[in-house]
Amino acid sequence: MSLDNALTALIPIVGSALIEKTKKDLLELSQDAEDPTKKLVYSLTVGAIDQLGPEGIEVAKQAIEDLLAGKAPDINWANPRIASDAVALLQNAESLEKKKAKAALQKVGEVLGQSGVVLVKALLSGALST
Amino acid sequence: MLYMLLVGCLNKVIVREPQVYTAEINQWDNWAVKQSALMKTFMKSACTCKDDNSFNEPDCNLAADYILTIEARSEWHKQKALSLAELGPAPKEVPPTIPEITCPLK
Repeated sequence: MSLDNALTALIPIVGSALIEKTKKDLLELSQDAEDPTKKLVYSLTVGAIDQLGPEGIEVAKQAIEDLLAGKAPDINWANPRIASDAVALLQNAESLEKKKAKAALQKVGEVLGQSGVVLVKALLSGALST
Repeated sequence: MLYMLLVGCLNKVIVREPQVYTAEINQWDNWAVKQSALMKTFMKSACTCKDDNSFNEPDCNLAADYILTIEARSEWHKQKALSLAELGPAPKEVPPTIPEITCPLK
């Protein structure tokens, strides 16, 4: 089922205004192919609808929420291209987190290092013995 | 800093033996790549072209998608997994593009 048909089939359930807005949002996502997250959100939604029909919207929503939370999404229904994009997004997110964590740890190390000097000086001066 | 330490403690951390983990990743990658190459050979005798970009047999279109994805991305995912475990150099951030299906498959 095409994305358009799947969304049109949902009009009696959720109303035309919401479907038009969803179509507009998805169209915007599809046009920003340079952003891997937006590209994946679009691919997941279209892929889920293609594989599962209108019910795919909820499945895609859950997968996207899991991805954004850094959880492994249940995307066994997805074709290998979408699955690979999803895993790549998770891997790059972990990579970014590691870089952030390393920078933060380095900062903590520097702060502890400075504190350490102060503590040693304090110990030597007897300031902590009381 | 206390917040960082608390958050750090709440995250589940799994420690693996580096040599075993590397062997597992390499094995899964090797299996996928070998299967893909074998499937590509089988496709030559089992699949027929519908047009320049698709096959008549639905399974052949699915197989082609797997082959192209594995050929383009398997090495990248492997390197990324190993680099995240600090067991190898990191690949480029953007994964390679997966080519579209051609018939016959290139």
